[in-house]
Amino acid sequence: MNPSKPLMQMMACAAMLLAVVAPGPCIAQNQSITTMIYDPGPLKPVDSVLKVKVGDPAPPFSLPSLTGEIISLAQYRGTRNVVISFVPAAWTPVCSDQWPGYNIAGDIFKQHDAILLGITVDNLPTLYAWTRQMGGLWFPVLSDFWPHGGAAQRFGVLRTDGTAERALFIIDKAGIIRNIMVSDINRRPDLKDIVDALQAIQ
Amino acid sequence: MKTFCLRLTVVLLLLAPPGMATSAEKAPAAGDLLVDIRLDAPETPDQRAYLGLSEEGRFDPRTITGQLLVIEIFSMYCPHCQREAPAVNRLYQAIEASETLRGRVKMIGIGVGNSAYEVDHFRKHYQIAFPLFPDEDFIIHKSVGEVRTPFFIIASIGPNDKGRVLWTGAGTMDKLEAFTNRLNGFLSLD
Repeated sequence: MNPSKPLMQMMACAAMLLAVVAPGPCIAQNQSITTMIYDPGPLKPVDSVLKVKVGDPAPPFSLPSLTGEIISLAQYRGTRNVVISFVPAAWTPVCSDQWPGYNIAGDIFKQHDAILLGITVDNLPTLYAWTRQMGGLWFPVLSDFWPHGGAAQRFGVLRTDGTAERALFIIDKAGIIRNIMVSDINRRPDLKDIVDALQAIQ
Repeated sequence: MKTFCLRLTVVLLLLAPPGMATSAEKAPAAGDLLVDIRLDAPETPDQRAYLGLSEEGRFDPRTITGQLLVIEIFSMYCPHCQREAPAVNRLYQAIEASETLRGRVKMIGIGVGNSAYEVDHFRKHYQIAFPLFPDEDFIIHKSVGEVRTPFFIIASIGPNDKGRVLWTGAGTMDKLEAFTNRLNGFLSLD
């Protein structure tokens, strides 16, 4: 495996972030982001094979979160629907605006009795810095860093370069996968698709 | 000579086909003509009336009634756009409360990479009263040089200078008074 590939991918994502959401010249406090930009071009849209399907029990996982808690999928069994948002990596462009978008959609998840869990393969210090520059997030952010991409691997969304797919899994209160959306890594999924999937399991 | 050059520039800008006024890769700048874009008319009669549109369907933003058009290029997913939303709302409210600006200055927002649902969610979340339009496939975004968001354009839409970009700005909004003074200044030149 080419060791520079994940770095190239992250830098490509960072370039896309700059083009779409990075601050203009009037926003001084975020200028440092612009120093991380590199663009290797479009990435392979999907680079993994799902290991689960709709109707399967969701693979269990317990992962460390930014609050210091270990979060287990099982703890929501019987009480909350769960939306898992895997994103490829911290400091990448589409990922870096996908979760801030969900930051103003908390009411949608609440209305559907759902919790959102954000997962990347990054370690906690990286996730801490990344989400801090977003201004903080209302939902738990989990690190699937070690064993590297273990949870992503069980769902079948770990790419060959060690990053995760841009994937959403909707899991009902019984722990059953009710919807799977693996997006083109270069594009952000429509918020409406999540809403429609949550409405379908009510 | 300076006056001649200025007149020549204005003539060339006016002669330029709308779609050619700015290249696909170039961000709009003062003096350019607005690129040729079409938007779907809002569904609500109130917003169509605000824009001076008599019916539903596609429309050219340069046909909006008024003298100046403020365009915000934003994204629901952009944290900077989220942070600026209250300030942009205050600008709209100030315009509507001003005897000199109301009716003469109109505002629209274009959500790049946002679906209609996402634009509507942004509108509801921040209680935005001026019309917002989706640009789900980044078509408009590409036509304005893929500017960083939020990006603001003030364009003339009066009968004498239709579609000429007067000012652009990116990032944090100016202080409200500075922005409204800028608008009043452009109106006094018209």
